[in-house]
Amino acid sequence: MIDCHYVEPTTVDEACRLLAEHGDGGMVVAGGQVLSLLRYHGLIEPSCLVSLQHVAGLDGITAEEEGVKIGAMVTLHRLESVGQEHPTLWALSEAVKNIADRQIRNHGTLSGNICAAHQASDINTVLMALNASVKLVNPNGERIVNLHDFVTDAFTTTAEPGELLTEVIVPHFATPRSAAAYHRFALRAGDYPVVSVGTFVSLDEAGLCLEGRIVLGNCLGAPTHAAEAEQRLQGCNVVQDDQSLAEAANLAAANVTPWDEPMASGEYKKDLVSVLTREALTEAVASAVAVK
Amino acid sequence: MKYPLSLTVNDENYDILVEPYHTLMEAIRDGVGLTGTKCACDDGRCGACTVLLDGTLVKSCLVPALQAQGKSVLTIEGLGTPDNLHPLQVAFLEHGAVQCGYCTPGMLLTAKNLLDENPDPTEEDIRTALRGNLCRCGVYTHATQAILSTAKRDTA
Repeated sequence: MIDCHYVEPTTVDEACRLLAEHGDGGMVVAGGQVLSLLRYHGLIEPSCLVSLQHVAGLDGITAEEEGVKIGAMVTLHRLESVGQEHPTLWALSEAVKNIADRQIRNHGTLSGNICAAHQASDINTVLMALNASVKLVNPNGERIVNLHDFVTDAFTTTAEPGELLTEVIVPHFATPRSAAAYHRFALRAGDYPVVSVGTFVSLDEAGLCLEGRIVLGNCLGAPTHAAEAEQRLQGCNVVQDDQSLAEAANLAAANVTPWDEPMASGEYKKDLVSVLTREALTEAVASAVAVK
Repeated sequence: MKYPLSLTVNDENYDILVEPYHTLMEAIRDGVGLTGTKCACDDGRCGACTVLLDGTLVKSCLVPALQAQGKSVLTIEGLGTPDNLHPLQVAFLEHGAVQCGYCTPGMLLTAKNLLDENPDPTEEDIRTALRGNLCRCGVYTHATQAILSTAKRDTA
């Protein structure tokens, strides 16, 4: 067994430097909810744990010009109510309420859930539907990466050694009549979803869809856009013609080949994609229309 | 490499040594020597290891021990004593909300946290709060009634 060290930096710069020093053996501990599991099952053997608990400035939630910025150490429990203050994040709040249980949401963090990159992560699925980006800081600078380009496969991100995710940026809706929704199906309360779908629509005054996003969770290694279905929505009057939503839902199912699980075959998941996409699109359209 | 960990458990200070990957549950059971905090699934599913960490409900098998540095932990041993049971413990006994008893410490701390936050919960609130505490004997109905009766007694 490798001798493991534990460090508690107090600044982002110090944390990045420590992570860079330890290379692949350095691992970030945010709330520890995933890390403890991976360690228990013998899947990781870090040489140094870098705890973010005392790093200043990672727990804010602020609305700025680029969007709502959420700090890496914000707990899942705090996100449950964030939609009330920041309407852009309403679907995120709804998604978080179904994650695990109160105990885990109390200590689990936003960045921990993202970086664990579980293929069924509710957060990654809904955040991709919201077109979120992440800010990655390294000893030499920083970069902003769209979440779609950060979480690329199961348990896989494009973070380099020495890079730290410090915040998530959810852009403001470009047009007022916009809304997102998130629907999931799980076999047990608090479990990961068998399939989940995050949707986003923005409409013009007449009800024409200016932009639609559909992201499928737990179908492939990482949440994935249903590109053909998104195109189907473009320019459709989704308020008057709800057939377009059903067709988009069917296209989403037809164009994905979900992985089989012991409790849910890929074929079964395709049916779920169709149903959940239609439900989530219907809800997003209704919410967008209701915007005053 | 072991690191010193200073924490308060049930109002008593402890200084122990832990490995970086040790969990708070291991620190409580093996370091402090209090075994009322149960280890059942050991991977965050069952809630038998639930404790209050600085007043926040957590599963101690998922919290890195060193993140509890300087903090205060409440375990089942601090909730009541055999001579002076907490009202929730009395209610659990009265309602027969215990069979094998393994989930009980975690359930009681979850129940305490619920009543601290919401002294007058509905049955639905209680069921939601207990979502992270599994009981293989199936005492949920009795536990729910026990918590409800404690709340009613306190708010009466």
